[in-house]
Amino acid sequence: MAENTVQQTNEVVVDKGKSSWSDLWKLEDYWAIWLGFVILVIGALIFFNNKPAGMDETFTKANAVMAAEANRAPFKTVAWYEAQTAKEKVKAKDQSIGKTIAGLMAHPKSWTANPLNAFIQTKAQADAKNAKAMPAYEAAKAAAAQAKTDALAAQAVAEQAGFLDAKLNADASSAIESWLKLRSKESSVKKKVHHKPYNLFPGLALLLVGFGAIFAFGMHFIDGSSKKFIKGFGLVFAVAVLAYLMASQATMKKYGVGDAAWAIAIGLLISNTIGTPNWAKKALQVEFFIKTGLVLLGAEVLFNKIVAIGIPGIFVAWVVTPVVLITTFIFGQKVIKMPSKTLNMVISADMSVCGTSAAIATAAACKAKKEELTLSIGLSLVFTSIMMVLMPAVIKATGMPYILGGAWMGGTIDATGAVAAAGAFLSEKALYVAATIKMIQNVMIGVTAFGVAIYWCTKVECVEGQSVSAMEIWYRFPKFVLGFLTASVIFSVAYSMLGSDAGFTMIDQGVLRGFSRLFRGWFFCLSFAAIGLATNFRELKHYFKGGKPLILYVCGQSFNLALTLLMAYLMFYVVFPDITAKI
Amino acid sequence: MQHRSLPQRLAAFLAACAMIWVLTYVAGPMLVNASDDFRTLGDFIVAENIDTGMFYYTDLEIVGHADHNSRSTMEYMPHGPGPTPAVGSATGAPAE
Repeated sequence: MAENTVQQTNEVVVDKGKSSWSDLWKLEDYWAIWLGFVILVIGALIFFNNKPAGMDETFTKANAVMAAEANRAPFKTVAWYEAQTAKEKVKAKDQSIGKTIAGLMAHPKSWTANPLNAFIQTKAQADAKNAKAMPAYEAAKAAAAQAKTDALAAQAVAEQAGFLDAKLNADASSAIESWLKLRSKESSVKKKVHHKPYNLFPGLALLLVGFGAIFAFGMHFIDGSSKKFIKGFGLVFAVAVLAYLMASQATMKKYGVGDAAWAIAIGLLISNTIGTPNWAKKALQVEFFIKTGLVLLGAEVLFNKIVAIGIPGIFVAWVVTPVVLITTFIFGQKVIKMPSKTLNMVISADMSVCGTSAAIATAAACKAKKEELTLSIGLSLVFTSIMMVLMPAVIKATGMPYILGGAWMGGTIDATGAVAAAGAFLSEKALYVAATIKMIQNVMIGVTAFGVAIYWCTKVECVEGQSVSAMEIWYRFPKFVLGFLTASVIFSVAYSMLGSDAGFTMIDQGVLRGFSRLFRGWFFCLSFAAIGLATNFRELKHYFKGGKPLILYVCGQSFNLALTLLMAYLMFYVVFPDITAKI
Repeated sequence: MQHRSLPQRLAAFLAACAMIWVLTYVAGPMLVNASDDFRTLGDFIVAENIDTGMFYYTDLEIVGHADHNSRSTMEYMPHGPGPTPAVGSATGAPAE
């Protein structure tokens, strides 16, 4: 984002833009679109030609059970949950082709003391781990089976009373909740007895060559520098692999320090100590990596997700978020007087929408500098770690209802991973509410990126009082946003046409999670590695002058916490208590 | 950085690597163990193998389940006879 940053000077604002047909193969924005769509089309072809066997029959049968159970009892019964689980298990990415792709594109796995374990696991090591975990699995399995028996017994007692006794209904519902918790525990322990041997080095070598070739092809047309790009790409890729390695370390997971933060940190470490070698500098294509990743991310912005939890979710995620975003931006400009509008916007979006992903999308849409993106992500990381620990503790200490707590955390903690950890720590229902609210908020980055791009083109990048023509807006508009939005619309429409069950199986758990997300994850990690390798600490210090970014984040997040809690309470406990009771 | 000599730059690099090592293996675990809340949550994260650093909903399998479950709840919301129970205890937490 550094070189192309638009300065707020008269020269740039009055400068007449121009475009030509050759932009289609000479600009990185368009190359990001072409590469992104090629990946999405390949993914769609692979997964839509490998539909799971018996998918439709499973859905029909499970839905019939769920409809019957919904009619039969005033709460979700054991059979209702089992039918739900049967549907969830049908995933396109679990087909053999999906597993092969996931294996080839895998990044370093979890490790504690020996980093080599992240890359290689022998059969003997896998068997030893499985044997060690087996007693815990057997115990968890027995506990879940007993809990299911208890739940069925409590449910039968409630049914004998025609489900008309409030206390018996409550007992049955509570017993079912306990069974769900133990079933979830059994499921997580089960993974620990299914360790398999792996060797990630061949896959990583393939990715190095493959990614290098993809981007070098684009660079050849953009400025003819593919050879120089290839020369330095190995370093960027190595930093990305190291970042994934560090993020997979057990203690780092406890902090919530992900690959994005590590990629920047390792890049900064190299560039500010031994120095980034000149031969690698052409490979630091921050914008090219980010924009391609963002086009892929567009496909994951499925607009139909916003109705997942009904009206309460829409209010908590889609009313509070824009209010906080706009208020924080205005507060930053009028009260704190942030010198950089782009930094102000990136921090506001990062804090109010959904952390790193929103920061990336907004930074690219308003052409923020890479240092501004780094600073925003750093702030988000620190507060995410703090909030992930403190919020569940506060919710427990104050006796706040867990569903309210889940909605509160989902609407305020930046990173989805931290939301999931904090939510799961409370209860399965809290996790589901927290994760769903966060997911609905995630979808908002499409609207945010588009809105910010338009606002920047029409208001920020022009001289006061000067009107901007439609063509001028087109020249200035970041074109990759069009690819991002197009991908979002196409996949949202496809998801709707397939229906929620098949959409979940084929798109969510197929093309997206089984293919495009893997590329997107690597591309973002490469971009953060490039940001770190291209950034000087001294430049970062300048942006932090006066502590204004920190003040902005703290004030905005405080407002966010208060407004989200109020809205969650109103929606889940005052306006729609019936929905809350049945979640 | 270029005005420093190569040994100086290498020394700075190794010092920074040492800092990361201390953060990962010494300071990090100490900080986690310093607070009961942090330790409990940390143990839970490791036991459940939750990728806390992931930032988008598609990065986490659990969010897919949450989404699907919420959607099914909306489509097949229980409406049988009798009163809808409040969940578990007064706090909405499951019964232990």
